[in-house]
Amino acid sequence: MFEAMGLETVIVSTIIGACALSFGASAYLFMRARPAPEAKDLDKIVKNAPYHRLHNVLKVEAGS
Amino acid sequence: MKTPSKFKRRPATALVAMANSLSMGDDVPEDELSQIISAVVLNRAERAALLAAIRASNDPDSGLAVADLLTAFAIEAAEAEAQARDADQVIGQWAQRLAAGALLASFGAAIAGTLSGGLAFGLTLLSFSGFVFATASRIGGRVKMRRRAQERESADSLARHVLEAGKLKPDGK
Repeated sequence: MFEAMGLETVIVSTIIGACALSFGASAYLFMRARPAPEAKDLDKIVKNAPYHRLHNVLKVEAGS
Repeated sequence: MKTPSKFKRRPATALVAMANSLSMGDDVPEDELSQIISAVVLNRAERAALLAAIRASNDPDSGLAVADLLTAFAIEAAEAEAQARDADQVIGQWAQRLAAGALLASFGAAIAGTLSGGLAFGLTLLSFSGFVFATASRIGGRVKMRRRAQERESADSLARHVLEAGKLKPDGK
């Protein structure tokens, strides 16, 4: 079955296959390492936090 | 240490507010909570402000609630760190090895004369760029892994300090 293939074809396809696998794995790793987009602006979260629950616990300034 | 009578609205006080709100049964969005905690644990000023706020708090349970949130965050960070390490060791390392093997194979084939000319050059270039790409992606993954490890350690130590701060009375005794 493989006798008809030349040595050159075997080597070229092996190298290209290994490179393709390596590229695919690296691209996957890059996608994983990409920082997740921030859900919301931090200032907005700080401003909208439930400070009314601290009413008797801790005095927090009314404004920002 | 004297604590201010009124605290500013900042991530540290927002975290105390969220912890109190959670212990009273209110719903706080999970992503907002994680974002606030990661903003607090890696910032020295916020850590200090959090400890001061816990000391000044009139509710002895708020320190416990905040410490528990910090510990839960540390566990999440540890899980993310372990996943990143697995990906690096299982996928990243083998991507690098495959590309290095392809590079050596193309060198060998070119030296032995099986491949020649443009094909040999093209394959060498392809496998070399694959090796560089794999190395770069591994470095990127490891940077993320280190950041998660740092977050885990910071959150763990802050949780311990918050518990200690909660034991002190507001007048420092």
